[in-house]
Amino acid sequence: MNNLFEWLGVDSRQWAALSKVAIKRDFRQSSVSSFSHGRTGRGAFVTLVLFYLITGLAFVPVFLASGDINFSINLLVLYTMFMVGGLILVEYHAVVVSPDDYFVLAFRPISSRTYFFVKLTNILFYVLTFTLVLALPATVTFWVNSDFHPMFGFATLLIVLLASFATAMGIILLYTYLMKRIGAARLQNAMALFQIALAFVVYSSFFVLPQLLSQPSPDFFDVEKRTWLVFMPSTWFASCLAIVMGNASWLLWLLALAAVVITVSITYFALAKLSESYSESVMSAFSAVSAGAKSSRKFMKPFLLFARAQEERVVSKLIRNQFLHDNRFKMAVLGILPLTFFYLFLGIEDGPLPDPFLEPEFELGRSGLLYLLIFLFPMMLRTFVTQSDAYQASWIFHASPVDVRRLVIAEKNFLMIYFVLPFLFILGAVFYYFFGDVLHVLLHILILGLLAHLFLQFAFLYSPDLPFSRPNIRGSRSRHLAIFFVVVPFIIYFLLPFVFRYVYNSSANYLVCMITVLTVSIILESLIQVRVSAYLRKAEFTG
Amino acid sequence: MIQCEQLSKSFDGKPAVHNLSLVVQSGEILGFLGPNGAGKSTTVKMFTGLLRPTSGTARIAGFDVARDPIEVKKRIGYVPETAALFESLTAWEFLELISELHHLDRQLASRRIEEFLSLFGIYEDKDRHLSTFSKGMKQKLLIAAALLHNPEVLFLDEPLNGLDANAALIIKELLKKMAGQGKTILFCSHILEVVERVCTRIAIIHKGELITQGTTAEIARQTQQPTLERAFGKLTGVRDASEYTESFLQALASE
Repeated sequence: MNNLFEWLGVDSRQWAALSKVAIKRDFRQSSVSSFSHGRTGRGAFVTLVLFYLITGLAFVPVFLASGDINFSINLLVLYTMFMVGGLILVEYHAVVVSPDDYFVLAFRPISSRTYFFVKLTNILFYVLTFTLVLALPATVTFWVNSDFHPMFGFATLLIVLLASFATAMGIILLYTYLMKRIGAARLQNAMALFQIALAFVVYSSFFVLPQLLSQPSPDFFDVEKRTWLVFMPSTWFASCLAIVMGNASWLLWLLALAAVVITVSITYFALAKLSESYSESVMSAFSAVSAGAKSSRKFMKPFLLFARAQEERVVSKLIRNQFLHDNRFKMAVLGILPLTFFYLFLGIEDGPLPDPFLEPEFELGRSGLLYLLIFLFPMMLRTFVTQSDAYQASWIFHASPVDVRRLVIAEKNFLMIYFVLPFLFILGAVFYYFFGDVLHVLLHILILGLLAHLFLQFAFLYSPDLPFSRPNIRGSRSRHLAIFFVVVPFIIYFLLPFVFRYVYNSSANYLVCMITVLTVSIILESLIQVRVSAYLRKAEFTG
Repeated sequence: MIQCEQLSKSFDGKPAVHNLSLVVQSGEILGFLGPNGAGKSTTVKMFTGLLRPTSGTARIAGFDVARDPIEVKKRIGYVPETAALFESLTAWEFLELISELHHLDRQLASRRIEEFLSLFGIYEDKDRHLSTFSKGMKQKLLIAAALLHNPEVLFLDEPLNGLDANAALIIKELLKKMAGQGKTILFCSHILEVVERVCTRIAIIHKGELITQGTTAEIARQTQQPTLERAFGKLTGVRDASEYTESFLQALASE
């Protein structure tokens, strides 16, 4: 092992010590702030492990229903690659792009290659653990289906892990290459653009999944029938299983070879070429930060348009400035924005959206994704808005004569005004295209907007965090996303059919619904303030 | 030995350090002074490999910072101005990590960690997470981490920040003894009395440029001022303190 490290130019003792410490730090890190809930990185990790295990189990009936091994392995590999892309996009890119240990380690005698290997190990630890958990139920299913063929289960697991590894390495390679090629001054903007582009790629691959799960057609992944499949990396990795099964055509052999060649090439390029200059790239990025931020008064006015009270101005300025200067926050927000377009596209892809005033009995179907976004999107952003590496600066909220209750309310209102409202406008335009009735659109949007606000209020009631007052805990964003993706759709698919059936069929019902939602909203607003006050009474700033 | 020639660093074309040439011999403690934003920390960051110089060269312990950064880093100890620590580790774990990074013999490392923690009076807290440490305790740990591998060259950026009087006294004595053993020390501080007492020579940097260097007496003579404090004020163009205070109070009073 030591010889291998030596050959790679990595200091094995330093690598072992740093990798151990990195995991220890991730697991121990907790949201120690005045509004502490005592959440830890370990908790986030366990939640994600459970989430991926449940997801893996959820695939089993689909595999059994399809009864086709080629379809199943293709679906599993495709989902795994999407999962890895999403994880790095939302969570783990910061490990490479903005390492938080730079100021502690930069003046220690650690070579660039060792440092890069430590970063790589940290990401791969999480990615491969989640992959393993996700693939385990499928592996067992395949193994049982193959009459306990000893190689079959093992090969499945290996293929999925290889696909996961290649995806992670590929994305890390792209980030690192960009850091090297783009000058420090332009790095932040380039990273933002890259994040959006990458998000589009990752989510577009996810676009295929709902189609497959709704109609598990065994021949969907048949490369002989659908030649475009040869361009999908997931097909290359999945082809390896056909070789183990002994029924691979020359095309599948070729695709499997492509998977191996691509993985080896990516790994070689990342390890041999980019790892050497990695420390230099990080140093450049931090030099750019040291240069200080340029004046950012431009475009401030729109963010203060609705800010009347002092607390509202504080929150507006803070969130807007964090977006400009906190790379992690910016990358997280930019990483989920493209998701909006895909859900929008998927939501209307099934055909015309029915007007709920005319067809109250309609089933949500795929258009449910459209509605899901209104509720999911602000919840995800809320998580990002409460976390920051500079969380210790939140002492200012407690040492200043501001009304902390109003700060929390202002935070919620900011998300409503600058994220939910613009999205409702877009949605309104889409509805108008299909409904053709302005009044129906306005009334429908009004109800949706109020319900989205109600959701956001519940989220703030559950956890009334001040802006950027919690540390970035590794895995916590993904954990929140995982929970939201399970809980929110569940509620939506029960709530909305009810609303559509009983609210839109008469003016009186609509009015009653409006009054009810508004009343609940007013009560929740007061409850949030009571909750913040209760927190404040036992709050201690420990940052 | 620390040696730099025409060392410069610019951020977005704005010079932070400009053509700095400096030599600190073995056994010397150089007090590196300057007003806030003068370029002290930027210079130290270039010496320690945290920032890449825009131009010029720097050699530490005989190695070029740009060409042999690892060799330089093996031989230096650095106490940064801000407490850069892994707060979720315990004091023992943090020092253990530093010893691993410097390839110290594990038994020797354990012994040294124990001794250092005892010396600074934080041995009892060795298993506490650093997030629970006070500012002074964190500073003690940073100093212990900088000294753990017995470096040839020490860069200390405001090392007495947050330390109690006893600990500060120990550090001051320790530095003198270490210089006596032939170590090279660069000491950045705003506390002129401490610099006067500890350092063998002083260099003053202002707006990124070295404006003078010498012993306290030499600087006082050059500027025709009775004390280092006055000399510093004159060299860095600071207005009279009472004049400053007056302006400040006027600004506070304005509606």
